[in-house]
Amino acid sequence: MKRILSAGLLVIMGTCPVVAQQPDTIPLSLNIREIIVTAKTGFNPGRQAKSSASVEEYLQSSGKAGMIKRGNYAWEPSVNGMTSERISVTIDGMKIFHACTDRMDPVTSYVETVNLGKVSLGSGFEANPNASNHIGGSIDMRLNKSGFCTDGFSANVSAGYESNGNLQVYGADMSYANPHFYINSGIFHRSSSNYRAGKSKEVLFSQFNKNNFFSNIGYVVANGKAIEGTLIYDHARNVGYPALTMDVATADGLISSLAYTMENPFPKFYKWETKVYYNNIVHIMDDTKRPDVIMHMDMPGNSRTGGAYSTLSGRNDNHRYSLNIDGYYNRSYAEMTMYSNNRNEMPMFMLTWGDVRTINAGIFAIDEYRINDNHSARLSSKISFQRDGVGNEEIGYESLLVYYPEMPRYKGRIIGNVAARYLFNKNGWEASASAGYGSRAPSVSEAYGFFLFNTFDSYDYLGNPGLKNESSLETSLILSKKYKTLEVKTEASCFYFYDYIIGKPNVELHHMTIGATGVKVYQNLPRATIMNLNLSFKYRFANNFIWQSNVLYARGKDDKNNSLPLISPISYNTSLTFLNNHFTAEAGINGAARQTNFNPEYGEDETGEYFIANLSAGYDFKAGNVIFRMKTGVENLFDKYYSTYSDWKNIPRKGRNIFLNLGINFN
Amino acid sequence: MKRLYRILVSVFIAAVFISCGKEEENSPADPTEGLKLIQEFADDNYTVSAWNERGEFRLGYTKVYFTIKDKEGNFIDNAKLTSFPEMDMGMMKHSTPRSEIIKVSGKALYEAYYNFLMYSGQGNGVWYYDLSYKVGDAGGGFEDVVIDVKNAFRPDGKTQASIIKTVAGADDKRYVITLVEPQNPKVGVNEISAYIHESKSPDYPAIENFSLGLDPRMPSMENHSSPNNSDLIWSEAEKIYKGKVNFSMTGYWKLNLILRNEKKEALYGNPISENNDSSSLFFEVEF
Ligand SMILES: [Cu+2]
Ligand SMILES: [Cu+2]
Repeated sequence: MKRILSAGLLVIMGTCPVVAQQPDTIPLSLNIREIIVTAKTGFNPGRQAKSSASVEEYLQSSGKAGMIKRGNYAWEPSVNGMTSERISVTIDGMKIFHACTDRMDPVTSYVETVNLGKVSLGSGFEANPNASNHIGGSIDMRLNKSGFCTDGFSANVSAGYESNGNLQVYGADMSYANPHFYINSGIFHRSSSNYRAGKSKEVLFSQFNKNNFFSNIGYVVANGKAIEGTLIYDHARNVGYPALTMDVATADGLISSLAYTMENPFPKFYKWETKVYYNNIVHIMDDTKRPDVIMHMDMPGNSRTGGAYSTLSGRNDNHRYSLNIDGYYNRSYAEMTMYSNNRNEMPMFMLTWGDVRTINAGIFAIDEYRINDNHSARLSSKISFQRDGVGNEEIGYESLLVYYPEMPRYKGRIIGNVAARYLFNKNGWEASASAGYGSRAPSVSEAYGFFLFNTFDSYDYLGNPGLKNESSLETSLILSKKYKTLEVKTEASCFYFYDYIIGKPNVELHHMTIGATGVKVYQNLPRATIMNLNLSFKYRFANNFIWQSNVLYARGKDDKNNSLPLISPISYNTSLTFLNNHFTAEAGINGAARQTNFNPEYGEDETGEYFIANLSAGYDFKAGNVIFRMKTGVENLFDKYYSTYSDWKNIPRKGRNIFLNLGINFN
Repeated sequence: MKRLYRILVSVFIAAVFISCGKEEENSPADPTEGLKLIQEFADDNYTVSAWNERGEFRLGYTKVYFTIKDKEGNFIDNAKLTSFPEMDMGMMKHSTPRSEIIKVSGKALYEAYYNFLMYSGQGNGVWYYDLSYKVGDAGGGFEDVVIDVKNAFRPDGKTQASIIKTVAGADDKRYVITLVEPQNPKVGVNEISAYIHESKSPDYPAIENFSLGLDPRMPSMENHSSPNNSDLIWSEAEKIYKGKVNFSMTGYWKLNLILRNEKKEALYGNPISENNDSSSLFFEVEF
């Protein structure tokens, strides 16, 4: 069962000699993008980044996810130009929500690369059965489990150093696996001082320090039945956010799950997985290290999520189908205590998330019908019931009543989607057309956030409990052609939104944050559109060389044809890779054109064009049972000083950085 | 989840029933339950006691309850009480805005309010208090009893809270404006109430049908304000000015006021503007 679960992963890693009996329920199709994160043994040309890379760097290097940066740590992923309120981010199907009202802690920051086997990216409503409220796409981070293999014992140690910011990475993990039992466990440390932007400009408050522990255990209780458990504890401290006015003292994530999997539970069904999970995130901000604090504040946040899902997967003749039910309960709590500069005054206290509670339960079904060798069709649908509201009556609810006197304390919503895809495949041609329609509920901040200051546009944001669900009609077209040595692919997706949720200024309200321009209240715009276009090719030549390139264009418009914020200008990357059995070398450039479609209303200004160059080389060799891996390189070779459209307050990105990674694997 | 919720709800309901039942069982005849004694006035026949929730007279609005007991300890519920407080400041004497003492229906209890303009010792003043009672045909009283009116502080315990103001209106009359509610301010929507009396010591006639424009602000937060506040307008039923004040957070709030007469003409106070972040008339609330 485990084999099935991560068939894709294991085949790629080659650690498990067992052949997958059944393919994944949702086939690896051309519009589900997978990013391989951990590659335990041997040489892996599929690895897209240096081994010391963070989860965010992996996602970024895939070219499929954008990254909004507020510093050197905890970048916020975006898919199709949309971030956390419009995409679903799950860990092995588990719902997890950030605890920071200022988006300092996207949930991807609570895992480490060693925790993960792969990351599945879905566009729009496709793919992930456990996703909810995912109007723009989904990211599912699949855990790195050894699986029920015959590997026996193995261990890994790795270390990485980067010159820029004196970044250091140390990790150790071990695994033991037999066909009835496995355990893998590891610890990981990552820390950095302030990094330097191009031209040696130090970016103050960009330091961080992070430790991570994980453990996965699996046990076969009877033939075809297994129990698996996961525990991840992630602790970051002293994390600077140069683009914000505050830093983080500590950010802790505890992620746990217990799953029960049955193989062939019923005729025509080959797998049934049921999982319960719980995670707790505690986020403590800190402004005590900043020199010019106008007013000292304490801003702790907490997000707790418990949930369960059950997925039944089957296959019959030309149909592959899956049924899923899932439910979760989240409590998001954040407070703010402001200490007046007049010492005689009482501290000011407010709840910025008044213990917002969300219960969501959904049912999902998908069927893929293989019409013949060349044609297949897929249909999926999900419907969820959500009840959300403010748990804290005394302050949370009462303070929102000031702004919304008629507001009910809890509110029910129905959210759902239907999506269909048609896939054609012949002679190396692959074409797919898909369309979907669905909706999402407003996020915790959008519905109930209370004066959340956004440093990007310098507005306080007030949630709006009366928001309608946002819905979207989306279509995508993918066309690719594979020749012997050349692969060309074009992808286009278009999202047409109704009741698009975004903050708009309300001049009647008084801002709260000192220095803020005003107050924005979340509203439903009648419509908005986001469009993404991606062209790529991959060319293999002279046996050992790969040349690949990728160009991305995106455009977002609101109902008045003004630009939506944080949408990428034309960006591109191209790289040339040499590889043989032991050696790999890569040279690449990436860059972006000048951002012309920016919108000052959301705090955006024009971002200039840039390109940077990177070089890297890796060498792997085996001595007995030990495999040595080395990778070194230089990023931003020409030490360009630049920032991109998605750098908060235009904080510059890293200047020249030389890295060295070492890894040793014992079998 | 739902089942757990249901269980919790039923436990809660059961608990409410049990606690309610208890209350009824030992419901006491003592009308002063929950009140603290401020002062007792006793003669050969009766003991009159003044009570309130804090057990003290205090600057600004002070609600006071009275009981009158005979020597057997029976509460008398058909008495008539009158009072007159006066501050002796040496050079001058003044009284303070106050209500009649009236019977609380259904209880052997009498109530009144005093809006103390000053606290004891302020300007070297001393508060004296006259109290007289009538039970049937019998009567008696107490004269020039010294009472202690405490100062009202903001939560730091040092800064005096601005909760009662005497102003000279544009109509050349003097008015006393006294904040009544909120006594226990909370984040969210608060009832606000106030009295307006004309200052003609020793009389302080209650003024009806004026209004108080309200603009709550937080001076240390760039004069942050909240929406949906309502001005204080005269409530004929409750004989007090009532409005709504909204606090978006705890902390120090300045309730800027504009006193207006029945023709809506401003008599005192000014609106908040670019160059003026405070009205000359305001109350302070801090929590
Ligand atoms: Cu934060
Ligand atoms: Cu006096």
